[in-house]
Amino acid sequence: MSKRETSSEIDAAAADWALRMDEAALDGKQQAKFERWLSADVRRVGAYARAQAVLVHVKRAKALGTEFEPSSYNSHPLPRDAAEAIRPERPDRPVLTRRRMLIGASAVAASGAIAFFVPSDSAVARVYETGRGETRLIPLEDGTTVTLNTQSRISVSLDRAARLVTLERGEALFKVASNKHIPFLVQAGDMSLRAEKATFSVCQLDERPLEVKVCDGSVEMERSSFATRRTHVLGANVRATLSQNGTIIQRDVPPEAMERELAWQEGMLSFVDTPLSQAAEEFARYSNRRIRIADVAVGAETVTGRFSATNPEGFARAVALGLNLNVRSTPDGITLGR
Amino acid sequence: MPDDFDLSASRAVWLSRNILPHEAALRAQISRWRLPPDLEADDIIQEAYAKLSTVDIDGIRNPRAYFFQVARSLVLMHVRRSRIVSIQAVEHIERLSVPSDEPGPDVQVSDRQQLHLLATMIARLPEASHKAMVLRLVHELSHREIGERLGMTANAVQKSLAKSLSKFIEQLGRGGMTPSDASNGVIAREDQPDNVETRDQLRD
Repeated sequence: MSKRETSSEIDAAAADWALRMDEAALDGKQQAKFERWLSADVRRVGAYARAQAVLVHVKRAKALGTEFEPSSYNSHPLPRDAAEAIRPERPDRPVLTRRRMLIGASAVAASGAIAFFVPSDSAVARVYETGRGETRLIPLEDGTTVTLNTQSRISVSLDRAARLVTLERGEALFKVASNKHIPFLVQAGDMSLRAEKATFSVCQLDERPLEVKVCDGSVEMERSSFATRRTHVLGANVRATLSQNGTIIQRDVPPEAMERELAWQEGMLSFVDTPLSQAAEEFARYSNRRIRIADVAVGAETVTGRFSATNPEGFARAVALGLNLNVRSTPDGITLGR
Repeated sequence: MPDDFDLSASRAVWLSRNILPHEAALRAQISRWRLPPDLEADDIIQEAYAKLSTVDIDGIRNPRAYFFQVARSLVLMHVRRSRIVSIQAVEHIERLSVPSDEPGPDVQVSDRQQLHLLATMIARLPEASHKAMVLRLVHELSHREIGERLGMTANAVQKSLAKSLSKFIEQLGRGGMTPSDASNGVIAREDQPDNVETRDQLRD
């Protein structure tokens, strides 16, 4: 083995990588090279993290303007922006939450803009939410529309650097208004999505893997917390799910199936040969009235059709008729059995 | 698979605000520990940053104390692995306390001082490097655009910027951010591995 690499050699290489990536995204070949470099020694990871941090710090110099004249900062009051930029985080001040920062950071990485480091006080996140069974169409100021499905919550913050939406829970469909200069970013869990012009939905439910469906355009998807920050580009008619072990699985979905899966926009649930148990589970998202299925065999029967999402009774009766089942109303729902 | 490292820009922002300002003080602390022969403070600092790229930052109430603790446990790990070092050395380090929770007033660097130091660091770059850095930071030009203005190749610009950034990494980590340095406009040089002043201040 060759001589142990010195820490200053590592620092020099880390600085080089940090600057490269700050300027532009690496291409596939460079990315692979970077990952090889990074994974060979834990000190390299640390050096790279530090190089990035130093670069962030140095970028605060932007607030100083074109002239970096050190003496002038002793006697004159600081330019407001500069003071703002350099101020450390203080708990008593509304600071960026970590989640917000993650998205903001992707915006920085993506656009090369550093306005993020001086967050404007006016960009207050707005929160929208829906109750069980409710869908809501939210037109945003930039022309984008967001449709919120049942029991969902998003916070939206639009400013010059980025259009940021955090999906806190539930499901949302985004029809993104095109804007080349201001990326549209969605953060869901530790997944960051970026789109320029696209129609896509994101679904984050406790008991299911995170799911992204792209109807139109393309969406970049990236895990925020991985060293190997591989960006997946999802094209139209693709569904991507984030599995438990962190891998992203992409599958093609025929347009008609996609449309069916997004029927909730109109307050409908649409099934084609869907197991009854699965359909019942879907209805549970929209109503407190539960559909219970008496036995496994009944649950395995399949259903096809379009039903009102907020009318589980109507669904149960229609299904019972088709499958020759008994319907029994209980105080909190409906039971289907033979 | 070992830890997942978060090398996102947001983590970098957090590190730059909460960790970087304490690096010089930590170096001073490490210099008082007996390290195994082939281990240097720089190695520990780099490993500590790597560790800080794996932890949940929301859970860290006191980044400075955490940074010191991480470094201490890394040193201990290395000392235990190194067979050359005696048991006494381990005990020596184990007895060392981690500094108090709150940085003293001497360590807290004001906004103005940080900004002043930053301006000083940039101002001291050689002329061509300085120009390239300003074009990159203030005008946000690409390396190619900077090259066109300065009559250099994009690659040469990249190299120049990287060299400047390496210098900043060095300076910021070695006491360049202590208030005394900032107010005197003195920046630690490469041949000055320890900032004696910092060490003295921390002893109180």
